[in-house]
Amino acid sequence: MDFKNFQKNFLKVISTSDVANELIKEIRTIGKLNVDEVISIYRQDYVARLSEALGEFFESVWFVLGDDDFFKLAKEYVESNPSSVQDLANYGRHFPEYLKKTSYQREFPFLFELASLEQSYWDFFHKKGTPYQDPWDSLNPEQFGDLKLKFPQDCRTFSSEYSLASLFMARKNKLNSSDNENFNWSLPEHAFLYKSSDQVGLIHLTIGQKLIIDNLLQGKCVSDSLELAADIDPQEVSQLFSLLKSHQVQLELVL
Amino acid sequence: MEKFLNPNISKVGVGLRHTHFPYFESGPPPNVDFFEAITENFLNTRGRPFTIIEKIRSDYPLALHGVSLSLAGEEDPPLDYLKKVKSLIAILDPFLISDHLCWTGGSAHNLHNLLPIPFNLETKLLLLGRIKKVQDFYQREVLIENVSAYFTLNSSTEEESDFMNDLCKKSGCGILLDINNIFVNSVNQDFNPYEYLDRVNFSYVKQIHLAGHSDLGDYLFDTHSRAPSDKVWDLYRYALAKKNNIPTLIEWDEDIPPFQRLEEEVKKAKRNGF
Repeated sequence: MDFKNFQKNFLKVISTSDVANELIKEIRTIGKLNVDEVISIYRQDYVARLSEALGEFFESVWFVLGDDDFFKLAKEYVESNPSSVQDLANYGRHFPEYLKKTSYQREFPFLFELASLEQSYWDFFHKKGTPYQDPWDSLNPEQFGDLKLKFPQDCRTFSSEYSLASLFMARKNKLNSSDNENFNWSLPEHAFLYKSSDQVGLIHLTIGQKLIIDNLLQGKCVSDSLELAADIDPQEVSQLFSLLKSHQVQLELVL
Repeated sequence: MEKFLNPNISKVGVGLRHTHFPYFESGPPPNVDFFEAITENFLNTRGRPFTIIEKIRSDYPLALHGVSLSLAGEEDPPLDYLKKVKSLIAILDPFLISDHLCWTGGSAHNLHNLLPIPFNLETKLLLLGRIKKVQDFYQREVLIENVSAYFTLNSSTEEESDFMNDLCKKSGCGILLDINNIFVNSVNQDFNPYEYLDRVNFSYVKQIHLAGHSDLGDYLFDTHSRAPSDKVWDLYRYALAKKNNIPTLIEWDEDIPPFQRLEEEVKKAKRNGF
């Protein structure tokens, strides 16, 4: 068998466990191991390597599912989604969609949303950040209502019927997987994910604050954005702008 | 690069791993001669990892070590991959560029593993063409590293060391000699590692890797999860007797310890180098 055919057969056997006779003839095993055993070294390594990559990118999903279920699911995903990337950080792009189809989604109906949030986090993480410059110092308060806020490119708001932001932060704060049993994930949450300098941050929002940011993100000026969120408590408005300032969200103030 | 100008100074580095990023940001200056980064880890990021590697590069020489070139793969290395690597080389100006003597899978199914090749004329011709293309594209010499292999191929007609010497002679590439891989293979494949080293033409050896392995009972596994074993250090000393002052890297990729532990291994390698 020439090397090209060997490679085709080897790739096939990693996925199917079905060792072709030609492969057996070509492989010289090590020590006491037989062909099946040496191939399983590579098969297990492949699954482990890609599962670990998924664990690194989707650690909140891992936190929710726990070790056993997460790695069972990761193995199934790896076996049905061969890698075609050079950089493992790009593997698992379809994992959030995949979660939708699993039985775990019934038990944890937020898994897809949580995985998508994590994907956004990593996307932002790998983008180039710009050093923070405070835009608020030079602001004339009389012009505040006419201001438009230009947000960084790498930001998004999100809303969920579940405690996605808290779950995400819990994992980032390195809680153990065993803590997930005590976690109340059934509270609706709204949040803002953004990149500032080299850090990716997350701000919990009220529904009103989220609505204001969405309006601002659409290019509406401050007074129009507040008008569209008419029922919002003035304290929440004030708190929102304080949060944007204290979290050093890089904004450009445009008149 | 100033540290490399004195030929009497041993050059020992460590792998740049994100586990140590907080240490680099707040700890004392790392006491190592150079760093080696996994090329692929920096191809698609301009975020914090890139900020760190740029900072490291401003203070230390840097080697770029690839794991996805798949020189013996079914297809040529993808052009977009080569372009990204070339761009990284232009930014970071590494003193060495390396990848492996292996294949890693196909374009539709990358196994992300360093898979064994047959050491014969057919593979050599394939590799000579690929190495030449890559070196021409990068406009740089590339080092190729011997891998740990849990099987060999019956269609091999040459010894790995002879095969690598010939590749270097005919393509102008260099050798990144992984001493731990030689040791692991010597036990698993039942050959004498000293004889392997005797066959290597050390004029081609431009870098050495040292790592730890695990004994799984039936075979040794190249885990990079611990310090090099005594037998690997013995082989290292034997190699250095043939050519001293080869930049040497301590690899530690699993169960990565605090950075200070790596610095201890660096010191040990420096002691072994003289």
